[in-house]
Amino acid sequence: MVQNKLIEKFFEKYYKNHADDIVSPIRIEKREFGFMFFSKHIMHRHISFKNSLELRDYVRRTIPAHAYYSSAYYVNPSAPTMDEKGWEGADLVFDIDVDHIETPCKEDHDLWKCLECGASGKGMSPSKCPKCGSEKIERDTWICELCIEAAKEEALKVCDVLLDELGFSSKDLYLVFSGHRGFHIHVEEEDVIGIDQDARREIVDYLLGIGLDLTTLGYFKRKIVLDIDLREEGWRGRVARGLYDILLNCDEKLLRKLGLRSRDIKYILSNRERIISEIERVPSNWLSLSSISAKSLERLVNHAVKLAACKVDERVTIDVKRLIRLPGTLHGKTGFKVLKLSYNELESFSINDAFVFDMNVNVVVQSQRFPKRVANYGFSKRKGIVEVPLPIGIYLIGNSKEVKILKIV
Amino acid sequence: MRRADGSGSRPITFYDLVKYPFIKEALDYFRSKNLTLDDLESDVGRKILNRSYERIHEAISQRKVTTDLSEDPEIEVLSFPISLLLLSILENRSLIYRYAVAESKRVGELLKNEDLDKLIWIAKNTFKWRVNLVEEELGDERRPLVIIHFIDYISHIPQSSKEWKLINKRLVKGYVFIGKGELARMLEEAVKKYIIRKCSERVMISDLPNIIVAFIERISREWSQYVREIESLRIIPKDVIGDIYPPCIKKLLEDLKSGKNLPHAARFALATFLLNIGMSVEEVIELFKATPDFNERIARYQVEHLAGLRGSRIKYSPYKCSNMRSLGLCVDLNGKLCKGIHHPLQYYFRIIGGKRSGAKQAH
Repeated sequence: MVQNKLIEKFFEKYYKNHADDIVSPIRIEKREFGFMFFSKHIMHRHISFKNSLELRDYVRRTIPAHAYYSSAYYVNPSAPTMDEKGWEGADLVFDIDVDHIETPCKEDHDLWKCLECGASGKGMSPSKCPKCGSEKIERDTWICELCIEAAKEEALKVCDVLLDELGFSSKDLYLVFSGHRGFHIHVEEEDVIGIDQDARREIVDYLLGIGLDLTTLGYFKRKIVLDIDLREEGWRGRVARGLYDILLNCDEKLLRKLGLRSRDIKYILSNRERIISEIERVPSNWLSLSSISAKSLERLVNHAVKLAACKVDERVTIDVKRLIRLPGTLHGKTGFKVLKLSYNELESFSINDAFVFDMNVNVVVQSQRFPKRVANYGFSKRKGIVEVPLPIGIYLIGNSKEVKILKIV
Repeated sequence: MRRADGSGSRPITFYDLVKYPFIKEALDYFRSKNLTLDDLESDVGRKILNRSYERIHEAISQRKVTTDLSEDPEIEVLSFPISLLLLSILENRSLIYRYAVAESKRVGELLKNEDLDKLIWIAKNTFKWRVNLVEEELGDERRPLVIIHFIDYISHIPQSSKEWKLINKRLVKGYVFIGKGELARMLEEAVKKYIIRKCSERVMISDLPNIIVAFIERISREWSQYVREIESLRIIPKDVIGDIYPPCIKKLLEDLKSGKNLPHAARFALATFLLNIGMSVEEVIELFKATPDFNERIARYQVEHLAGLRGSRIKYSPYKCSNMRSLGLCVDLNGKLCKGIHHPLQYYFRIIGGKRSGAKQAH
């Protein structure tokens, strides 16, 4: 609680001078807002504001730990039930979260522990305990610059599909750094606002690669191995390029992991040059892959599909009544700023763009365990007492109960 | 690619208004007549009302609407919006759905035989779709192709099946490539949605002419009698479904009951599931009576086949979850409700098992 009070103090100071940074969503009077506070663990929902002045004043007065607004537009956004609210439409939102992306840096900063049998490990947490199968897993997870880079890559991939394949223009969409583990992509184009959940599911399935029928790739149809050109647009082209990348860069270890037959692995590795040059032809020729078994080819294609898929959280896109982070506010677990970015700004984004507290102020923190690296900061010691810059200190105490700030230097 | 869009000369004749009384031109015609409610009590008005009633009556009793060309074509055109008026006064959701399916089926059958130009004209002018005819050059040959904006496409997918999934379509810069048959089928879906939307609009009429009241009472009586008959056949109590069936099967049952037309794979999944949890062939057939194109002879043959009573004598199992997923039939893709479930039957037996052991503990 004391540590919470400390964060609240910093937030208060910040909002006093920077509440005007809060981005007022378009048609603010039709949006529902929700807030969580440092003192209580419940969400205050069904709040609405007439204009941005009211919203900023509210934040300045109440110092929320977390601030959200609805991607939906309502007739009566502050009504307590959905029926009374009167849904009119919703922005199209995609959520990219490092939780869903495998990154090697997780080994450096993440731990998991099974609360049933006590098994534990480093790195990406399993969804259930590999030892006893329990789903009660305690996780100690952090983000570092590498995580943010991975999430950025994924966000750019989603943007490319939205622009090149779905035909949106870059001015119809913007991105938001969520203040913690990823990015949101918002599309506010007039045409998408009214579409229903089924249509949104169709879009998200398109991104995730769900329901892809291999025969549309010309997969083993009429004695042709595959009927796709490397330069083709859309999903087919992405799968072709994924397959090309696999064949170009694979080693025995990867092919074994994918479950290819030994004979096929040997064939691919010893004929790689020829296979690659044939695929590079215009149009691509996949004929030399006809020597490998159907099963092996299918496994290769499936892996290419996995590479071509965008790892978005489908629930966020399909749920048209969800609350989402409000740009310009602070994230209560990290102290980072929820930052609105244009498509062109994403490329150059780095985590310190979201720091709002003074880098030149240091704090002394104590913990039984420090990760190797969090945000852009590497720890020299793995436990005990260290001095860190203020933004890192706030992140440490916000994200872990184990860490205490002892004093501000 | 060369664009040859449907903005050329108007391919719509008066005969088209009779066949497609929902199109913009037909509604303009209806409006130009300036009909008032009192006009419906005149001789012509009675004829219109009577034909409006027939449309709904046929949808209730036969699950279809027939285009009537024997009568005055003008009455045929004007009776459609009046049917919608009657239904919106009645405010019965399932009747509206029943009528929308029947009327749109009629339209779908006719649209199949139309020229592409006419389909594109209707899509553009009535439904405001961004759709165009393009020609793709394949060597010396020119092939006509339809492109439609993906938002219009995903908002009018008629059924969840692999073939219709956006991901299996050629999609370039926001436009989906489709064939003529698909465009016709999507227009059918759009007509269904249009009817449902129109009939769900509240109408405020303070003083209904007696003749309208009489027709409304007649329709209402027919529908409630039909509902009573169906309900006596209903086997599964509504409150039980929510508990024991996996979400995919629940969705299919709901779709079935609301009169939606399920694609083949969906019917297979549902029928095999129900047979495998011990429902009889008769009971399954009864449920399928709700489908718009129900044919008892064919249905019986198919269900008996699935139950292993015919042909190979193999009792079929429902698809496992991964197949349901690829077929677009899974509704819990993130595994929120179906944690650790690999097969729809597993879900059912787990819940049933859990209930049984729970009951034991209670005693």
